[in-house]
Amino acid sequence: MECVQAGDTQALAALIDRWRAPLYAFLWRRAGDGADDLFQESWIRVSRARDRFDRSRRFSTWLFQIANNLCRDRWRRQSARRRALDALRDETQASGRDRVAAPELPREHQLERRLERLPERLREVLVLRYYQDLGEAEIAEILDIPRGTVKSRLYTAVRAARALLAEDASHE
Amino acid sequence: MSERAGDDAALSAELAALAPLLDRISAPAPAQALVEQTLRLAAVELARAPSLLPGVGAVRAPLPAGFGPELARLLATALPALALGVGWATLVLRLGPGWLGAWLPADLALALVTAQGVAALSALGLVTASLPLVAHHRALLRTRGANG
Repeated sequence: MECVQAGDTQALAALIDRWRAPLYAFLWRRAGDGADDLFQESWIRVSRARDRFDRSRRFSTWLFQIANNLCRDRWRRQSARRRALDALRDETQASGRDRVAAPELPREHQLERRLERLPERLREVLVLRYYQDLGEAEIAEILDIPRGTVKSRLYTAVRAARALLAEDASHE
Repeated sequence: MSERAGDDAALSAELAALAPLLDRISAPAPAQALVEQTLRLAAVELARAPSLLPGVGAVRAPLPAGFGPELARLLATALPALALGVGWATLVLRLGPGWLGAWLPADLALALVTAQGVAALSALGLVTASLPLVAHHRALLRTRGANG
């Protein structure tokens, strides 16, 4: 990262190559189809804000912090859009017009959609802990919350995920 | 998923129990075209001057140049005055009840002297504790002045 801070493009390429798979997997699990845009935006932000990187910290912590903040922003925008769509749907139902049935999702996406039903604050800790294999201390740093909060959110997330995924298993 | 020192073992066990379900959700790898395009865009940004962005973790700003000497200068000025203040407070605490006791009830004299002592020591503590902050501020002003 030191070389990237000095403007070295080769070092940036090496950094992207090193973190492409874990970062993309993280973004895909957090934002689904929006992962491509967020992947690009994350690296653009890393380049643009390179001077703000504190060399005493781990690069991965900083990178996932940026990516997670982008996911949160996207989620907030989508929530607003979803609320507007819900209101429109309610209006349509009230006026007695026919509802359009949602298309059936492929099987592998159904599980993923179930996890999407987890509240944002639970999904982010679960993805960081389980899929990104980060420790509680690093998650606390990425999310800027106390370690105890990470732990309690993880417990809640595990319980909620178990209920959601078991629901899916029982349908098989 | 690995367990680190200090992590909750019971929680790790619960996650491990959930693994067969969680592992069914696999994530794809980024397309090569996406990675190449990302590198192009990021390299363009790298060529530009760095900028501040919302959502990017704040760096802990380094101490301004000259902070150490500034703090030393302030301490050198403040320490004799602090010693004088502490000496005065001690004197008041030790001799005050006797002086005031000649005119005031003994308990009231003691209460007054104690209040005076506590106030003096608190004020001295506050002044001492704020010295690094003052030194930081002065060093910043000096740096800005030097940079025009």
